[in-house]
Amino acid sequence: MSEIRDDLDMDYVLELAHNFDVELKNHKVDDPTVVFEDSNPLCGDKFKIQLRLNDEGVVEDVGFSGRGCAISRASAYLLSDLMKGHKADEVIEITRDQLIDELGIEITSAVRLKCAGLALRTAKKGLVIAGRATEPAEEEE
Amino acid sequence: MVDTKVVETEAGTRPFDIQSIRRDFPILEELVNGKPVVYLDSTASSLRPEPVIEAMLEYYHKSNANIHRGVYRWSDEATFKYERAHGKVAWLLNAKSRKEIIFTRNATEALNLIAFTWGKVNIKAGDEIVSTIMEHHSNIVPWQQLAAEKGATVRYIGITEDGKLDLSNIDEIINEKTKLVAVTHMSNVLGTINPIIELTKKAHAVGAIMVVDAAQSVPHMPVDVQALDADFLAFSGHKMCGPTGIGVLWGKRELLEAMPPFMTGGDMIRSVTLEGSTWNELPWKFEAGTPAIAEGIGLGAAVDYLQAFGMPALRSHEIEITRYALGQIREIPDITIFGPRKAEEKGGVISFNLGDVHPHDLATMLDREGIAVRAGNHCAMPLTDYLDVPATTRASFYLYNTFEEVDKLVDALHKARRIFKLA
Repeated sequence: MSEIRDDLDMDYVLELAHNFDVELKNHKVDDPTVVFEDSNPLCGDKFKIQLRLNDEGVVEDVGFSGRGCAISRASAYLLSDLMKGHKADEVIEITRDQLIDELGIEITSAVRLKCAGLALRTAKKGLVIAGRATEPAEEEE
Repeated sequence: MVDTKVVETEAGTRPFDIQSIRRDFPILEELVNGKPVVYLDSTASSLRPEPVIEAMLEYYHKSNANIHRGVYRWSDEATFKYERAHGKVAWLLNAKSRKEIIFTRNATEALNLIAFTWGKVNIKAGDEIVSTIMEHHSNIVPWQQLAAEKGATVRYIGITEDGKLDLSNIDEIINEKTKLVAVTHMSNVLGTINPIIELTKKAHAVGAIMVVDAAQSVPHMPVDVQALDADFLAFSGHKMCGPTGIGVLWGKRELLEAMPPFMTGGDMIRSVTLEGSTWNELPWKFEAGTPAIAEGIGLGAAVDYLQAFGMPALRSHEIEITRYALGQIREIPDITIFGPRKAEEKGGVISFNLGDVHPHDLATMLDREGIAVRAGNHCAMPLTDYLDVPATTRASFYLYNTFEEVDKLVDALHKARRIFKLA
C-alpha cells in the first residue's frame, strides 16, 4: 500500500465520520421503537442506537449517541443510510462486509473489523431484543 | 542461598551495545509493507532474542521428556533445566530460595493464585482489600471476586494529576480492617513507579499482606524482593524477553507453606490415598500437572540474557530513551501526555492522545507507517474512565529501541496531524 492511497482512504472515512457527528450523533429520535446500547470490549467504544419503525416495520428515523473511532462512526453513517426506508427484516440482512465495501478501505486487522461492525451489531441486537426481527442465521464475529 | 547458585554468567558483564542487541532479535529484520517495523509495544509483549528461542528448541531437540518422572537421561536433563530456571529467577529477584519461585502461566494466574489460596483462607466478611485505580484488570478483578464471595470490600487508592498514587488519605484507606494491599510496581499505562517499600510498611503496620503486580517492573528495572519486603510479587515471562505461557509468583516461604494448594493433581502431590492426599514441597506444591517445560527453560534463558547486561543498564537506557521521547512528543501541538512528566519517575511507557483523534484511528495510521503502538484501555478501564478519555495511544520502549525509532514516531505524529486535519 502506498502512502498516498492511505491518505485518500483516511480522507473518505474522516468525511463520513464527520457527517455522522453532524447528522446522527446526539440526534434525538421522537418516540423511538428501539433503544439499545452495545460496546466493543476491546477498545471501550460504545454506541446507543435509537430507531423509529412505522407500523409496516419500516425504519423512519435513526439516531446515535456514544463514542467511537472514525471507522466505527463512518460505518454507522453508511448503515443509517442503508436502514432508512427499509424494513427491519432487510436491515437484519445487512452484513459488515457490505459496510466495509462501501467504506472503500481494506481492513485486515481483527480489532478494526470490530470497529466497522459495532453500529451494525448494535442495530441488529436492538431490533431482535425489541422483537422487531428474528436473529440472523449466522452472526459474524 | 545455596540453591540460587545456578548461573554461569555474572550480572552486568556484557556491554550495552544497542546494535549488537538488535542483532539478537532476528524479527527486527522482518519487513512489513516493505518497511522495518518500529516496535513500540513491549509493554504488551516484548520481542524474544535468539538465545531464548534456542534454549527452547534445544529442549525439544535434545532432551524432550517430562520432568520429575523418568530416570532416563532426557528426563533428568529436562528436570535439571526446568528446576534451574526457578533458580535463575530467584537470582534475578534476590529471593532467599528458589522454593519461593512458582511458575504460573502469567502474572494474571499468579495474582489469581493468591486470591484463590491465601484469600480463601484469610479473607472474611467485613475485611477490606486495598487496590488502586491505576491497576491492570488482573490486579482488580480477582480481589473484587474474592470480596464478593467473602462479603469483604475493595477500596481504591486514587491518583494525583501527574499520575502518581494519591497518598494524602492513605492512613484512612489502609486501616485495621485491611487484610491485603495489591498495588502495581509500575503502571502499564502511565509508567508510574509506585513507592512499594512505603506501602508495604503501611500494610504490615496494620497486619495486612502486600501483593505487588511486577509485570512491568521486573522486565525493566532492578527488583529486589528482600529490599521491597512485600509478601507476594507477580510477573509474566513474555514481557521480559521470555516466551508466552509462563509467568512467576514469588511469595515469602512461610506464607506459601501455610497456604492450601491452588490446583491439584499431578506433580504437586507427595502422597495420595483413597482417604486423602499430602502436598509436594515448594515450589512444586503450586505447579499442578505437567508444566510449560520448554517455556520455563526459555524464561531461564531470558533471565540470563537480561542479567548479562544487568538490570541497572536496562533501566538507564530506558530512562534516556524515555526522556528523549517525552521531550520530542511534548513539542507536538495537540498532544496530551498522561502520567509523570519526568523519565526518572516512570518506566519506558508514554501514553498520549493527539487532539480528539481516536487512538484506534491514530494506531492504524501509525501501523501504515510501520510503527507498532497500542491503542485502547490497556486492560485498565477504571484508569481510562478516570482520565476521562475513550482510550489512549501508548508507545513503550525496551532494550532494543533506538532514538532513531523515536524520531520515526515523532515524524509520523506530525504527519498524523495533517491527515486528521489538525494542522
